[in-house]
Amino acid sequence: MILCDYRGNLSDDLFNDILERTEQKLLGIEHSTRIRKKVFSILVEVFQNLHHHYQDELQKKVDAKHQVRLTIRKSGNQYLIFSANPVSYDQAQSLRNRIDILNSLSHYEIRELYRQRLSDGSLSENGGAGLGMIDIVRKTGEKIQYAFENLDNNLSFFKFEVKISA
Amino acid sequence: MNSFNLEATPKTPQIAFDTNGKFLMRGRSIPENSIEFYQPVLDWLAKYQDAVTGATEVEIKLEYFNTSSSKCIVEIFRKLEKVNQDGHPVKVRWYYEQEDEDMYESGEDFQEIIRLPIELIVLDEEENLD
Repeated sequence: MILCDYRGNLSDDLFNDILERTEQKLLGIEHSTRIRKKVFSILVEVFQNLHHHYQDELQKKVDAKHQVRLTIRKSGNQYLIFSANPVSYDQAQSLRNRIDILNSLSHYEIRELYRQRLSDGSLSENGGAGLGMIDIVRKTGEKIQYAFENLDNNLSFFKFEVKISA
Repeated sequence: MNSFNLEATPKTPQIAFDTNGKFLMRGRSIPENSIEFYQPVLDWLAKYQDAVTGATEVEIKLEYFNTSSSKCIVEIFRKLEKVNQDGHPVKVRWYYEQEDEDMYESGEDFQEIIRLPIELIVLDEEENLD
């Protein structure tokens, strides 16, 4: 079941709209407050991550198939949040490194890392805390699935998926 | 010094901090830019640090908060740690919904990294944070 499937440019209004509609749909199909809140708060982080990495100029370089994409679906007892966006070569390297490290940590290590960053890190100028990915891994308890599709020498299409088990 | 009050919006919480030391944060905190939202709160707390004479009781009843808000909540607590160290006791009550283990764990995170007494309390079922 598809709860949301969006492709195109990003804006605050769009985000508010997606959040509101997804929340309404979740209220209709998910009776567990715990899972509903988990899906919703992970969606907020995924979207805000997308937004922090979003660059109009990259978006203009790609064809319709490689525009920003966000889908939320339910399959069996799992929710799947998928996002994809064009990134530069440098962004791709840094994302790959960060995710590989997070995927290699135990649940306990993730929690410790989260606390450490929360306690002593600072906010970047766009408000990013560097905590979003850690929070996603922590709340889902699952590895992040990702892939890069090379579009040209300095452009990749970053695909990211998280699973939330109900 | 005046009290600090903000109404809740779909993405930001109600904030009601009064000069007598009753503080409430309630609702959702998921703004895209949390510094922009929280800076006035932190500025107010800087003045409160100098004006405070008695005890401070903080109630936090959040339905959701994003990770960038969590950094700002840490900053709020850091200001209150200073108030507490200066001899004006501060107590925090962190509320969570019965089933919401993520919000409970967040309360534990703050207990771990903040030097203030933080009590974790289950919300009454009748109380709805929407």
